[in-house]
Amino acid sequence: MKPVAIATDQANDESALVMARDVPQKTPLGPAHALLALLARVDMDPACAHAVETAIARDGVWNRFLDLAEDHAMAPLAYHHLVRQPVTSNAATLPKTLRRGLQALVLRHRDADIILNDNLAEIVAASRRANLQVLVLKGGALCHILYPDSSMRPRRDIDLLAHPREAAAMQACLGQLGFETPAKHGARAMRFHHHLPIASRQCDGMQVSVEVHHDALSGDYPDRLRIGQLTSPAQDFDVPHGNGGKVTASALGHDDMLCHLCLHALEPGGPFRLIGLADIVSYACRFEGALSLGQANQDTRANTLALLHYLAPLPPQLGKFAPPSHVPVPDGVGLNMPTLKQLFSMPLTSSQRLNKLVFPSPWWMHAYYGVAPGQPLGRVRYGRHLLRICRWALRRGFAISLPG
Amino acid sequence: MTETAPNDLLRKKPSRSSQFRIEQMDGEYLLYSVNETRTIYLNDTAVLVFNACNGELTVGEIVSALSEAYPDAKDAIGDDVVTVLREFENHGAIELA
Repeated sequence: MKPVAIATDQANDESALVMARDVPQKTPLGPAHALLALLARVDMDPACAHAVETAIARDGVWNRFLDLAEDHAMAPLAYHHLVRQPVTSNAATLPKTLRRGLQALVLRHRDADIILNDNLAEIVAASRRANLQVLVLKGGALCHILYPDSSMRPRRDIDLLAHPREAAAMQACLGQLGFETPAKHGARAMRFHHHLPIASRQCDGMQVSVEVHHDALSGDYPDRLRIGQLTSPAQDFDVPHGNGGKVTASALGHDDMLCHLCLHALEPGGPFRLIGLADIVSYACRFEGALSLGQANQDTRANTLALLHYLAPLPPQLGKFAPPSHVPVPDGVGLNMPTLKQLFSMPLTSSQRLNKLVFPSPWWMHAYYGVAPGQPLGRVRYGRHLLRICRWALRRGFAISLPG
Repeated sequence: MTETAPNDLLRKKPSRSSQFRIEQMDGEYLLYSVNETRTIYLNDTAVLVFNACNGELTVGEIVSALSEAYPDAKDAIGDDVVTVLREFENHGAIELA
């Protein structure tokens, strides 16, 4: 299925470089995207269900719905809320071809889920035998901690966090399990990446990829999230495998988990993935009592929730994080900044490319740099953001320039 | 037996591909393969035909069995079974040995 093309979504951008004001960027993400955003939560509250009903009634809501659902890893959740346990009566208007398409995707993700769970269980058991501490990151943990059925949370690979001193040993452990463990990353620009070269093996016709991180956060962030520097104790969860067996694995603690989810979801790279919206909002709801969330202007996670409210209204339980209604909605809701690689592969003029680099989506800038909605972006845009771009370019340039 | 079904086809023994399996999902039957991107939707008759493709029954025996089970439809069953089997074969879901 064809991925969403950033260039197409932003076809109406101005071509001239404009200084000293925020550049309005139209984000015609469409009715299908709007519906998927509303479906992006594990538990549906009545207000959101009502919004889903209204969204379904919009013209063109089913255009590109299946493609977008898969691009945003939302097919199982969409199927759950529209077919299995429909949240509104007009969910029955879902065209039969789309329903069947969703069914096929649900089956595919279910099969992948079984394989990934079996692999994760084997890897966790092997790490124990080798006396190595690993934490499972992102979807590999969330699918068991947050979702009623792990297959409802699609994953493409297995992400592990190891202590920086043990990452190589963990990679060797994977090698002993039959994973191919390349000595180097494929691209020189990834030389100082926050995870080791991707390990992979074939299982039942599917390629299983494992990333051993020594830092949960990309080096593009100035902050670190490493074992030994975590703020909350790890949490345990069960991974089912085989014929009814299970293995106990560990994940980031609640505060670190939510922090990681927010920062990871906002990394440059195209549209904000709606499964990230489901993860963040659902996690904040489920574990609100165990989280120490501050105000939006002090806490990145609270600020992210505030910005996500513009994608889909927060549940009543998180209503205190919603921005006041008088605050203007920033442009570019749902659009992350493209990566440098994406920018240079787009069919753009140099000035257009520079424009997107220096003036990415205001919504994204508010979220990425922790600026509360309604607060001006000037200092960030002409200060931190420019410095951050320099950091990204220097890191990659340095990595590429080194021999070997 | 139908006059339109060649005799050599009636003697063939269809067998299911190990890559495909039937899944029931929310009231519908799907013929699903992990390695393929297609999913085939089956009605009740097609499910019976697919399950009968065990590599031991001939096409003719499958037609006869279904004609006995559904006598009111026996005039059409031969053609229906042949059509379904050809579809399965085209998608790689069965082999006609």
